[in-house]
Amino acid sequence: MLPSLGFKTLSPDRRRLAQRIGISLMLSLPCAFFAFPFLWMLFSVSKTNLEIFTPLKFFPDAYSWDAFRALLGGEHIPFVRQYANSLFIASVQSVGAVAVSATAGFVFGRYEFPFRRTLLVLAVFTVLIPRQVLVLPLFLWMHRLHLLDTPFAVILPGVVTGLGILYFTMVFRRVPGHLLDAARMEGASEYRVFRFALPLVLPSLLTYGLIHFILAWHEHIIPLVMLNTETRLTVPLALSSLYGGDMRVPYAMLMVGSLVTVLPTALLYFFLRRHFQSSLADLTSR
Amino acid sequence: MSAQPGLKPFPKAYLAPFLLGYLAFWLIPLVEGFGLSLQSDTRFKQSEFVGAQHYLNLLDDGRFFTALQNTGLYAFGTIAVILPLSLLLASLLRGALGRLRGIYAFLLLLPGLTPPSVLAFLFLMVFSGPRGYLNAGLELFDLGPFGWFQDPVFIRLSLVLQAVWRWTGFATLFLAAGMDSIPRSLYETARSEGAGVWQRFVHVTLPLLRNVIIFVCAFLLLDAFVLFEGAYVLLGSSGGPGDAGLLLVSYAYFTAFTLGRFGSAAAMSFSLIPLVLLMLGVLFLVFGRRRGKEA
Amino acid sequence: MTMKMHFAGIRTAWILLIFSLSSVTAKPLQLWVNSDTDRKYYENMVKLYQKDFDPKFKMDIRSYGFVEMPDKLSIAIKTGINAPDIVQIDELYFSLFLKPDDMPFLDLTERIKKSGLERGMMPQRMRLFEHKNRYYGLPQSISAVVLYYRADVFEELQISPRSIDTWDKFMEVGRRLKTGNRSLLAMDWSYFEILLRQRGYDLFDTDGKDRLLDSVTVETLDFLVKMSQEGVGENPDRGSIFDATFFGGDVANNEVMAIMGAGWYGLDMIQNLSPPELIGKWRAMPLPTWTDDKSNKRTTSTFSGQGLVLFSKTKRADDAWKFVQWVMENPEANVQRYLQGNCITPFRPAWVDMRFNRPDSTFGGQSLGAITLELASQVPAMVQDPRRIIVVNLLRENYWQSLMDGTTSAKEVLTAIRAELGKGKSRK
Repeated sequence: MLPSLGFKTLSPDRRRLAQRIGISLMLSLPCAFFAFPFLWMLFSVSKTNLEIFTPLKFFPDAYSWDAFRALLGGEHIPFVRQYANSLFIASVQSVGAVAVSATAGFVFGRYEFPFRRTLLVLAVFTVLIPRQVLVLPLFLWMHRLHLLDTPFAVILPGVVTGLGILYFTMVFRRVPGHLLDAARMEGASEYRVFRFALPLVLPSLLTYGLIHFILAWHEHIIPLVMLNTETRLTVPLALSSLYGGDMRVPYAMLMVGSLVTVLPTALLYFFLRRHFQSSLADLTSR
Repeated sequence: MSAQPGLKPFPKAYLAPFLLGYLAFWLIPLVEGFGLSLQSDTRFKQSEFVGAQHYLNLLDDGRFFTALQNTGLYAFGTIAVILPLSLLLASLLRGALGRLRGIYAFLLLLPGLTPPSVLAFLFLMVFSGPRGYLNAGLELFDLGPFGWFQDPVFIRLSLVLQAVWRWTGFATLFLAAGMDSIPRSLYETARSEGAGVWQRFVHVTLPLLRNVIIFVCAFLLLDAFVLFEGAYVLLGSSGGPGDAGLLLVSYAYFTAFTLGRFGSAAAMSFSLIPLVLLMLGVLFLVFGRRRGKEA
Repeated sequence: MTMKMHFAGIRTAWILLIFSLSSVTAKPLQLWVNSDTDRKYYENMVKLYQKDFDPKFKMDIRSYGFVEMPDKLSIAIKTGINAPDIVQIDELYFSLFLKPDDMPFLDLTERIKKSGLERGMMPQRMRLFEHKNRYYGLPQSISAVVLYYRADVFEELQISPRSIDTWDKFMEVGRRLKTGNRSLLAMDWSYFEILLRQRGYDLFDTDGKDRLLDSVTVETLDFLVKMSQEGVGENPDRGSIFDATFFGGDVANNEVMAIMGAGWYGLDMIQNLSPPELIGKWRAMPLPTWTDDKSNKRTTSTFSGQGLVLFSKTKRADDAWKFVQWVMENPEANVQRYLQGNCITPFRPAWVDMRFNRPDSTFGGQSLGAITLELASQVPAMVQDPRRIIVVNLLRENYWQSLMDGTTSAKEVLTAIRAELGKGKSRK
């Protein structure tokens, strides 16, 4: 790649290393561009509103933990409680979504039965319909079930997702059939065969769980409509209720809020990174 | 592909949670939502049946067609930028030092992990504000300052930029993982046949990544037509000057919640379903055609 | 044994039934507000009300985002489920819910007349939540508009604020003051209604006829276009003085020498947008006047303002009304609304309290409360109309920018907006 004379005289190993260093340097530019606003956010946790509204001022005049104290100490909103709500809703929903999608995906991917195609198309429909159309009927429905203003009003509608069904249909289709046949030889029922197949697709289970967690964690419209009581709200709602154009609320708190909001998804990504990549590889290899 | 799915007795009970949940939380609201689209727009009192009135009204709603056009442009723009960009980043990522790969991938992913409302605030403040870094940077080249949210052309550009910032990391990650799974031997064969970097990319990498590329495109299409947060948090439920940034999702939301015309909004969303289906169909047809030949 | 258990079962059922019935009556009233500051104010007021009036009184106060609250309210009203008893709503959003044959708020006319509140309230402000001679709510603020200006810069350039007594003179000063990136006035879409009302006009008349293409209306919007074209006014990015995140920079960088806004704007926004070096440099003055004879040389106008309305399906209208009446009349509640929420009450008997004259340091010790009260009698009435929100929305979101750029004329814009209104009508 680099046509200099000195480069050509290097040994192949060293040449490869030099190439990798070069590529790494090249990549650091776009990465810096993508992550720059977060660095700005990091330094903004101790800025005054005025400093925040002058974004070219990168560093604050003074560093303090006031915004952390104000937000986590519940000075304006019961943030810790709301954070726990969000965690509960997002985790239960993603576990539920994985369970529902994996079981159904297994059947769709491995068996032929009447109406299979129709059901799959119906599942795809859930992906195509904007949430806000369904929100009014869903609201009435949750009212009839006496679930309004409970976490389940938010969790349940998200558990059935066309995305998950399609994903697991594809995943289970790629599990080599002879592995499952081996289980059948030993006399396992078709229900047992699924349990046998599960460990084979563990990375995919975790990956889908992660993706669903991210989506559920950011969900805005369903919680907005379903939840009322302050102590039952989720983090995105709570943060936006603070910033209704009221200038007296310090924006540094929003910075702290977003920082701790990115945290669980970032941590999950880090822990599940390897599974994430190998499961994607599963999906893409033919 | 290995063993054909057999026609054996299948574990029916495993479909139960899906069917039950689907019925309760999708089908019933969906049918009710469709019913809503046939009802008159009242805020408070009992509404009446108006048949296809809302659907017919859409035909002479100029803003609906503006929104449709904008959404199409936005979808096309995001795909046209994100796909090549993430392909490039993914190939570079694979060439980077092993230890840095994880960190780089994470940095690219960071915007996608951030709540949309915060992301919009950061985007506005840091990038596109009058005193933001984008204008400051362009000033170094004696360009601008641009009104990123004033000029209709720049509004559309900002929307696309916002999507690029948000989704490129995910797309890159998916494509990089796909590239990892391509057997090295294929590249070696190609190399021995005298294929250069570009030829190897076009003849080996791209065809084998077809599934991932379809997935990324489908996701971006859905982001433009169905997902709501991206545009909404940037411009609110309005479209900005001249409706330049008015997208269908935000227009439907505005119609439903702000104007209280739930019936009209439902009609708007339902009339989009065939369109999105059609586009997804075309997408699979264009990219997926090869598959039929090979099989 | 089984008999006994049976009885016990019936007894618990009864107890449960009685308990659930009593919990229905003891269920606290629900009030929705749209900011954290307002929530705190009402929490304090509930405490005061309990002390003053009814120790058993309970209220559940919920604050949602400024934009989200009306969205949630839309659903609550449409379905009647989990709806609030009382809502604090902005008059602009009120017009959104204002449908004569489909009205979700309780008609308070008789109650207001009987209670004597009608006499105490400024009649102009009672128009905020009035439609076709019926009252649907009570206003919380006077919202008298003043002109905020940078006294230090005026002094430096030897401009006497007193000499700016007409809009013509204002234009002259503006032309003089203009430099590279410094303009006299920060422009905003809200000025259209402000100037229109200053001239004793409005977007609609009381019969519901729109006045969009009346010569005064076109001329007023034209005047704002002229301001921008001649550099007297500068349109902030995103076209609004209410967008703190963007407008803050304009103020801090000395690009803006004057802003038009109500008293609460000065305290809510300017006070918080100004960097330390600008604290004390601002002053407020009455608006320059129009020289035509219709406007009565009015030196103020009005824009926006919140108020309390009752949901028409509330089961406890009387309890809710009692609290609303108390909070509107009680002297301490009225003063606290200013001290905690920057809003001066339109309830005249409350004005005697000296705390309304508190000096404001951002404005060099000038008292915004005192100025507002001085101007109160001149505050024009406004006309509420269901289609107002459509006009404002279109102007603000779709046309304001091109107006300020000079790419469309006032007449074109108003014609287009009027056409849009007609469409809504024919569809019905």
